[in-house]
Amino acid sequence: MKFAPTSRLTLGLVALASALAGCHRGAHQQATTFEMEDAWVRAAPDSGSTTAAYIRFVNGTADTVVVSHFSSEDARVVELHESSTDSVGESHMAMRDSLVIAPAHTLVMRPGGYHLMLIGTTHGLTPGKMIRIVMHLSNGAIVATSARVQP
Amino acid sequence: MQLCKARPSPGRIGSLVAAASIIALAAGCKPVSFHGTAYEPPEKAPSVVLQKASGGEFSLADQHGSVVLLFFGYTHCPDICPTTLTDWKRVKSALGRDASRVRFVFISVDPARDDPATLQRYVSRFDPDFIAATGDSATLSNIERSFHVTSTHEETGSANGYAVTHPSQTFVIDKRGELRLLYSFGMATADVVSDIRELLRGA
Repeated sequence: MKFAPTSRLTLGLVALASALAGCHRGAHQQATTFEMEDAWVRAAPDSGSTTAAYIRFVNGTADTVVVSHFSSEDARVVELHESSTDSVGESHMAMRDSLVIAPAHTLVMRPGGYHLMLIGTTHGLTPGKMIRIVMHLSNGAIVATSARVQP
Repeated sequence: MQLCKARPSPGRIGSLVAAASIIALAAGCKPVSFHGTAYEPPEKAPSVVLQKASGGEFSLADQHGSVVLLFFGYTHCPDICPTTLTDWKRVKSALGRDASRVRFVFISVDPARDDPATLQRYVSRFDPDFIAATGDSATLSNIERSFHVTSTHEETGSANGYAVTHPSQTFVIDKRGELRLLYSFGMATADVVSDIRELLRGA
């Protein structure tokens, strides 16, 4: 399955899912967007590897967006983790249940902070390839973005 | 940047830096200003004798004449460790021919999962010249203690297995085998290259 190498998707599905859930917006309201930008994943040449992916989330909507689950056809499991460094310079890593992006806020995943852990890659991820990451939102919407493999 | 446990207090470091500057100025020397956190005064680097993942023994004492960058990590680490190794790759590239006098040493603190083949393959992904080394738990603990750092297993519930809490910094040892600098995670490539060139010039 191939995916367009887009680095940004506009989330019309959020509005659609909200409408289906009974959260109707007035027709006069401006369109709001939840965008995923600059997604990338670190190369892992061997199938079965663990690697990390990073995405920039821009919540231009008036609602809090909660991403409750991640998945990918390119990895057996996708988990949300957060790295941190304590006062003596030791690095810690904790698994998180969900990602919460407040209205009108941007959350940037980056090395040393939030990242998606791709466990058990189903094939070698070499630089230049694209993989697809699927996100399940707490309101029932499902969105996806493409992430470019980088060294 | 943060200093590791049991290091000289910032106050003491400040006094030592001031004293060193006065001595250097009195001697007509221009003190070198490093981007990384400097050990003032420099300390003799601890003994590090481990098994190289490519075979044979790695001894830090045998690296005299080279500048050594040293990091404690593990191959199941998807974030901090590969980012550091990627940063090192950029540093090595920017150093050009000077890189032949620099050793990049990745010490695995997860010997239970990082057998030599796994460790060598992992580090070679970034650069085949990078040195990967490890040892038994007791040996690693002694080395960590001598660097005033620790690593511990943490159960996170991840399908990736346990995580390892480990130092995020890179230690820099000069050509004379003295601990000179400490880099926090994510140090800018240009700053690291500048410091290494100073150390290669004998600073």
